[in-house]
This record gives sequence, structure tokens and C-alpha cells, in this order.
Amino acid sequence: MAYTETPLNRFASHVLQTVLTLIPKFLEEPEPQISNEDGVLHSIPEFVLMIADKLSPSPNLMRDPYGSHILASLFHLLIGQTYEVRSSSSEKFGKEKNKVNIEEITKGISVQVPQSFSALLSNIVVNLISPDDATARRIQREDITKLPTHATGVISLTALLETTKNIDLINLFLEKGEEWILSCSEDKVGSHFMCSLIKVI
Amino acid sequence: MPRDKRPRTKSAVQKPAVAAPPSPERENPLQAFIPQPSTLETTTSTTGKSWLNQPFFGKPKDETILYVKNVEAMLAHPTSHDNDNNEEEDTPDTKKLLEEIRGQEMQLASDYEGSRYIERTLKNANQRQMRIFIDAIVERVVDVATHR
Repeated sequence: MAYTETPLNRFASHVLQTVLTLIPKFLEEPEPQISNEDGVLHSIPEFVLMIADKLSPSPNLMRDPYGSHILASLFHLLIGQTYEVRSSSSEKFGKEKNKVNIEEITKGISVQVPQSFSALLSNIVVNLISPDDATARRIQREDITKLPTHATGVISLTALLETTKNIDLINLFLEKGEEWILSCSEDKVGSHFMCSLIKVI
Repeated sequence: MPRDKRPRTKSAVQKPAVAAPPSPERENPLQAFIPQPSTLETTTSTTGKSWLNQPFFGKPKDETILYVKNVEAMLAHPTSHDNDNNEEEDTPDTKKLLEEIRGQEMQLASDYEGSRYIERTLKNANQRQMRIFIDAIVERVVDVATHR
């Protein structure tokens, strides 16, 4: 596997998701200085910012079946919450083989996060819906409004909506008009997104 | 919450890909390119594990399992909540395992069995172990946007 494909890899993405899901439980612990042969290790918050920066959320990554879950975990992590959604077969395997259920460790965890996390989450929304270049902005906004009916894209989009409750993001969909809203509401996938949209309005 | 749409199908979970044995009637045209057991033993790493320098696909499954068990042992170091200053010392064995795993984490993570072992062991990891693991993988979570 090429290292660049970590968040897109069928197995490695689950490892990365586990890391992102477990991080909140360390955020309120004191952080002793730790060194290895390369020098002093970054703190947990610094690692989070590095991972977020390298992931660089985009509509393409949001649509990816594995990347979408990685981003959903990242968005929840940035507000100090855990996000752990697995397929039924994956959960069954976990209960049989892993013995320790991750939900038992992370369930209900909600911790204070550094201000840099909130700023990063805001920047992610801005970069997604309002790139500097006008053409890129038009294309990207159009791209994002297709995510509510996308089977995997809706997962990361819903997470972004629920964690930021960003008014510009909400307006992006409301401005699509009555016909789009009705069409989305009647869609098998889109109806779930509309439920989330209504909750954050 | 939306349902998990990742294509980790039941059949895929229960039946990890296993290379079919070559048919005795037909010679495999790629045979010359497949690492043979004798070839795998010719390169020995400084850690004493001959397969560490080999391509991942050429690693025998038994050694994969042995390796992930080492990873598990490394990360299963118990969390020390009783320690007031929150310092946790590495045992010599842990230090040795940390040296052995360097650079191999994501190769393990990209494997069906390896990813499960890593996930399970991470759940028991303390903060120090988590930081060491993230340090090892974070440089590999790179340039997704430009890659696509």
C-alpha cells in the first residue's frame, strides 16, 4: 500500500479511525515530555492538527467510502467527542475477536478541546465552501450540494453539519430552493441528511 | 447516525484473500517474479527478522501473526494511573519492540489481520504509547488531496 492512501485503504482507514476515536480520552490528561531517537514527540493536540492538515478535507475525500468515516471521526474529535460507526459485520467481528469494545471505552466521552481545534474546524468549512478562487468556489459548492444524496458522502457531511452548525453551510443547502429540498427529502439517503439539517437550524 | 456504508462485506470479512495454489498442469508465467522461501531468508535485518526488508506481499502469514503479536505486546503495556507525575517507563522489551516496529506500522495496518491486531492493542494503549504510535504513522497520512 502506498502510504498516501492510508485514509483510503480498506484496513488502514479503520486503524486511523480508531486512533481518532481514542484521542479524546487523552485530551484532558497531563502531557509529559516524551522523547525518542528523533527528538521530543509532539503533544496529542499537535498531532491532531497535523493529521487534520494532512488530510485536507475535500468533497472527493468526503465521498470516499473510507475517507468519509475518517473525516466524520476527525470532525467529532475537533469538538471533543468520539465517533465510532462500524458496519454490522465489523462490529460482530470486534465483539468476537477484539474482546475490548471501543464503545465501552469511548462512550459518552465529551472533553474540552484547545481553541486551535475550534479554529481549525471553522477553517475547514471556509475552505470547503468558500475557496478564494471564484471558479473553484462555484464548482466546490455545487459539488458539496450533491453530497446529501451520496451514500457515503452524507456521513462526513452530516458530521460536519452537526459539529459546526455553521450558518453558511446551512444556507448553502437552503438556498438551493424548495424543489431541491423536496427532492432531497424524498431521497433514501437525502432524507436522513434533511433530518440533521432541520435539527441544526 | 447514518449507517456504515463501507464495503466491508460479510464475505470479505470471513474469507480473507488467499492465493490459489498453482495448477500442476499449467505453469504460472509470473512464477519467476514471486519471492521463494529461500530468497526470503537471504536478507537479514539488524533486528534479526529476515522478512522485515522484504516486500509485504512476500511475507509468510505465520510471521505476520508473530509480528503483530509483538506489536500487541508492545502496546499492551498497562496504563499507570497510580503514578502522580504520570511518567511511564519503558521496559527493555518494550524499547526493543518499539525499535523493531519503526517504519512498519502502516504495512501492518493495511493488512486484514494486522489492522485488527493494531486496533485491538490501541484500545489498551496509554497516552505515551498512543503518541509514539501516532508519531510513527502521522507522516504517512500525507497529501490525500494532491494524491487524488
